[in-house]
Amino acid sequence: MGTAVRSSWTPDQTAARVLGLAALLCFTWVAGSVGTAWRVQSAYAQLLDSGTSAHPAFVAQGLAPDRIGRLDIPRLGLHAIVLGGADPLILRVAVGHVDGTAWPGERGHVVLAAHRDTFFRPLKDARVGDTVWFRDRAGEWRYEVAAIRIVRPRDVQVIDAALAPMLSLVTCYPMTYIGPAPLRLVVQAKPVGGKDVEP
Amino acid sequence: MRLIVGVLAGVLLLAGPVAAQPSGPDRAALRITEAIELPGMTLPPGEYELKVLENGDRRALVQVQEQTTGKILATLLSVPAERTRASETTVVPFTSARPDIPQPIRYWYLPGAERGFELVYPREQAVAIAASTGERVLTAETTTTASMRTVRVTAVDADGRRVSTADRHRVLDVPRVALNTTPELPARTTPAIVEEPAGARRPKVPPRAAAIQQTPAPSAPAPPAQAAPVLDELPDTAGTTVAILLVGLVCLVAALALMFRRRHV
Repeated sequence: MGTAVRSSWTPDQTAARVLGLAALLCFTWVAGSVGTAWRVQSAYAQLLDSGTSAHPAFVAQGLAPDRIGRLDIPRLGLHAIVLGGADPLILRVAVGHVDGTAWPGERGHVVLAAHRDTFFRPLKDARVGDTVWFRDRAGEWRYEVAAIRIVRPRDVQVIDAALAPMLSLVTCYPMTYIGPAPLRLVVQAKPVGGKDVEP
Repeated sequence: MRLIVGVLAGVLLLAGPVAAQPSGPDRAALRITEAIELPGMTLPPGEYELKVLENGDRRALVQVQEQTTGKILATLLSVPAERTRASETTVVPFTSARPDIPQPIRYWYLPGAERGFELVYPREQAVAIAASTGERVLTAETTTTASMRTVRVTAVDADGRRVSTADRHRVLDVPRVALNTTPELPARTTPAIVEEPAGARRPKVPPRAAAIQQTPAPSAPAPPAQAAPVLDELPDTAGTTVAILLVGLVCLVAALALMFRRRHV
């Protein structure tokens, strides 16, 4: 019976069904990805407020970083949880703190990275003078955007530790590019106050 | 005749690099009059040679050997570092190391070079140095020769906590030469190391005179040491969400178009 039904499909019908299935898979993947990111953001926001431990489900997925914070740029409407590490798993669900760079409150250059099509999309409208807040369990730090640079991926000197203490937000550029973008947008903010921050 | 000239030219071309190798720019002699601390070892007073075995973007291997016997004492893991001004100083200890113990060495530079190496210590030793100097110290879970190319380098503070490998510490970029008999200089500024490039002729003067020649004015400002960038490239933040969403939309539109066409046909 099934064979009879399949044999009655025209090539157009078969192609339409295959394409429809592919579309369904794509939308399911995107929905799952967005849903996971939303759940992680909600869970770690609560964790940051309450001081409870990470959800076992996230621990099982390898999403139990040792460092958690929250990044806010009120004018841009950018509010996101920051997790330690900048591997693809972290970047899919949060803003990532690049290993080896300082954490806010430590000496050195803080580097945070995120996807341009999710958490850091508002950075396209960043302006010099925008206020950036970073909060973790130790306190709250305030920064002010001092420079916006578009650089090549190998221009790592913009995050050189020897520069004055800064917070750099890194994402791909151009924002409208599909696929791996050839440039990086680096929004650099200088500390202007907060616990243990040297202005 | 042409054949002979060609052969001679070939021999000269081959012989050139071989003859230059012993005094090449990848090594420097080190003469110390007091013991110093290196990763995994305390180096007693003597004459040594430090040589760059491998020099990558993110890590380098430095070999320590006795100058007289050529005996290899250790192979040290390090990460690239940079100073703002090239000088003949090759060894830079931690700035606040206590004077009554062997000075732990933080940086090693080739003479006259801006780029150098920050040494990576075994964890236990790194924590001890951090505790005595108050500075962060690079460390790795294992610093065995076999694992040096792959092991992850981090940094620890005095409490053994992992901290950022980047910092803005200023180091005293001066040669450290034994001058214990000089009353004018306080103990913290009486260095213990005499350095010179490999192959350079040692001055025929007493050690103290040599030390005086290499000691800069105590009030000279020290340039800051720059930690090397911790990344080869800025993070790759290309997300796939939008691309997959677009693929899904294209598939959906194509499927609808096919169905629409079939109905009309």
